[in-house]
Amino acid sequence: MEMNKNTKIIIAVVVILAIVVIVAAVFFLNPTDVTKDAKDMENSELKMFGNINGDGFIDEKDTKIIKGLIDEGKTATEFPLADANQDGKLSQADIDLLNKVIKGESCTIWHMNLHDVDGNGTMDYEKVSTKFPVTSMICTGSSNTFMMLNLAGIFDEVKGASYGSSIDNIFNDTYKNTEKVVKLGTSSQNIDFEDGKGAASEVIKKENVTMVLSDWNRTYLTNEDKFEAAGVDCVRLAAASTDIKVMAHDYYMLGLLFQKQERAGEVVEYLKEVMEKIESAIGKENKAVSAVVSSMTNYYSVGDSDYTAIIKFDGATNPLDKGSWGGTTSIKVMDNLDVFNPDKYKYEYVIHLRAYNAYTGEADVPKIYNDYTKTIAEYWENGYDGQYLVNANMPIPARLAYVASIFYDDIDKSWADEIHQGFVDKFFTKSYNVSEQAFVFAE
Amino acid sequence: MTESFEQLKEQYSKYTLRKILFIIVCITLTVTMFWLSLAVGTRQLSLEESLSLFINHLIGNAPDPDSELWYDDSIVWNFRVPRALFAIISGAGLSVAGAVMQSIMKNPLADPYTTGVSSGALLGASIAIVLGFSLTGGGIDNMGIVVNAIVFAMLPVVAIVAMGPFFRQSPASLILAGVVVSFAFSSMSSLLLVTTDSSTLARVYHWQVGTLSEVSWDAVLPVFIVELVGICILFPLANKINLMALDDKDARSMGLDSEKLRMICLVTLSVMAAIIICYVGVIGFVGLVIPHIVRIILGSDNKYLIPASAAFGAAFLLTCDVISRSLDVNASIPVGVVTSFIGAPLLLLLIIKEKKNIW
Repeated sequence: MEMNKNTKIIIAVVVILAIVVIVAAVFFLNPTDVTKDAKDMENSELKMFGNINGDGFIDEKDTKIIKGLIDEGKTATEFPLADANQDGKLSQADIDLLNKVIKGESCTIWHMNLHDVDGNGTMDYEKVSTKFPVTSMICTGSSNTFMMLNLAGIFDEVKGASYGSSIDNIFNDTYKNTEKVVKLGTSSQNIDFEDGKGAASEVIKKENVTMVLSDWNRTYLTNEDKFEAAGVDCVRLAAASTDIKVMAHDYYMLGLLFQKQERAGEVVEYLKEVMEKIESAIGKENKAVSAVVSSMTNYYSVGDSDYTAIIKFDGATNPLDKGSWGGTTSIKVMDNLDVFNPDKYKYEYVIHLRAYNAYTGEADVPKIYNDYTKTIAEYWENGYDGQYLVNANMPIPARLAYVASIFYDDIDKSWADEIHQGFVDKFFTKSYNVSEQAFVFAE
Repeated sequence: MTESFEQLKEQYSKYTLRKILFIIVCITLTVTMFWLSLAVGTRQLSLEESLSLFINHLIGNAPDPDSELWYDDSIVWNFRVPRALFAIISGAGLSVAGAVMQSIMKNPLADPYTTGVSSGALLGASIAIVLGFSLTGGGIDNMGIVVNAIVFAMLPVVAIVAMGPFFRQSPASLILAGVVVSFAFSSMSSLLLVTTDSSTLARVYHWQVGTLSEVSWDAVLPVFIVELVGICILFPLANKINLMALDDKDARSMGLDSEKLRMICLVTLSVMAAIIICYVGVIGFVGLVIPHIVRIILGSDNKYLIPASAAFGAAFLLTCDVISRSLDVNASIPVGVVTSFIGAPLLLLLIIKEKKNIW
């Protein structure tokens, strides 16, 4: 029996159609390939286990992807970020935990602390667990930490802080108000847990404190184990980082822990916008600026620190990188007079990053400038020319913008003021006109 | 003659009783201060509360981690008890080491650190804190600092023992050798410290002054074992150490090998001091002053001086620690500051009051 031509054509069309339908079904009807949405910790904006899509929030998108991974029989070894409860397997328990986080119910979350774990001066990731949500905390109070908390909108939750005298008076009503926030010592880096009258154990019990916030550097909160032993979780962030990825994690983490995700989202969005603006203004190509940083009187910062990162971000080279300084992050210039030898170390700028009361205009800025610069001016070939005082009590991008305006003639200070003013208008509790105050000063 | 013998016996009994009473009073004071120390600190607990938490934990009734009392129990048991025990043990150890050092060196200015253990330990700790290098290979965690400190603390002792044959181990030469070694190690520490930043410097300084604020249970057992063994070695030698008050030649004529005994005591008390330093830093004054105070009250017989120094040293350091924790200031006061602040006028007062030459 022979098929006629039409029958052959019909069969061919049917076969082709069938193939197309099968291929389409594979593409469109098959469950979503969830693995492509899974991110690793390095690329996650919020470095928390369970944040499988790598954005800044824990939400249904994460639970959906993790459910897909469970359905596909994937393992925690293949997708470690999906293992929200860190029990070594992917299961409904991970989704249940994330659902609790989404609803703001009490649970324990697993995330990364930014911490110099091995003591080599660089930031590492340290896996830790933290009780969620946080309603009461204490912190080591550096200027940068207070500014970060200020931008994140975290005020009443801070029950205690240790801080020095250089903290800006704009925090007089918040973190420096001792009726609301117990002062836990005068160090900006460490808090005693249980020692003299100025330690933390009393306020922890009285205020049900469950978290202590500190910075990534190894000199911060050296007695972390004591807090952990007493059931107080230590969260470490990098309040002075110039890396937008790190900044994003800082704010998303705070937003999550304190249930202020919306505010965190706004801050990160603005940070990204501003950082992009700064980077594009600097346009690092064809720039040949060399500078050093001083964060303590008659000391220069060396190596990789939050201070040297400022000038490097702004496209400057640090000639002191060539030297060998024995693992420290700051050197006393009088003990290292070579730093003034132009044949060895040549630089155009000395940026003095110091905290003083700029917002309220209370500081005697010319005097501060003179105190910090006079010794260096005696030894450095450029004298005072090229020495700038930059306030360290302000959002990091504003700091970067002011330093860029020092380095480059085509960047005006008013541009930096505008960036700075943006932070003040959007996130500060009080209004300040930054262009009227001396956030940068030189004679 | 019988009457005078009886009088002598009575006098000796009184003499002995006085010493035993002194030791009992010191032990009672130590126990009382231990109780007080459980209630003193940042977290406000009453004497009854702290004692109840301590006893309940001791008999195995520690509160459940979810209970309301868990936090306070943790404060008492994990912070205050080890700290108080460490103060007792190290106070006793440093005082005994000081008493023996002064006796074998025949020098009132000698203390447990005379051989340079403190300078060696400081260098070890500075290397760990400033350079981030420790012999454990694990950076500058607390164990890294402890291991560095103890190894470097023993270097001066080894150096002095090795140099012993060259200067016949006379007390004056040993002290001079200790001073020289101390200076050498201190200069190396200074070299490290002048180049570091202020926060690291503050950390080293805190350690240098001596503080009990970092003490945990991990430190108590090793220190207890070393101090106990040290006291067990030194106490039976008390009579021989008494003989060392004589000239070395006279002592030798009585069958005592002064040089050998001095070296045994030196190494023992250096180890006793080193283990304390490596955990809490250089707690000054205790090893120097406590034996002097005890000598003024009880005399120089090492048979009583050693246990009495141990008892008084324990009570003294614990009391100083309680005071350091009680001061209402916005910073922790290192116990080393309080020991000097209280010990110096106390010794001066006793010297003036007693008006006697104890050496």
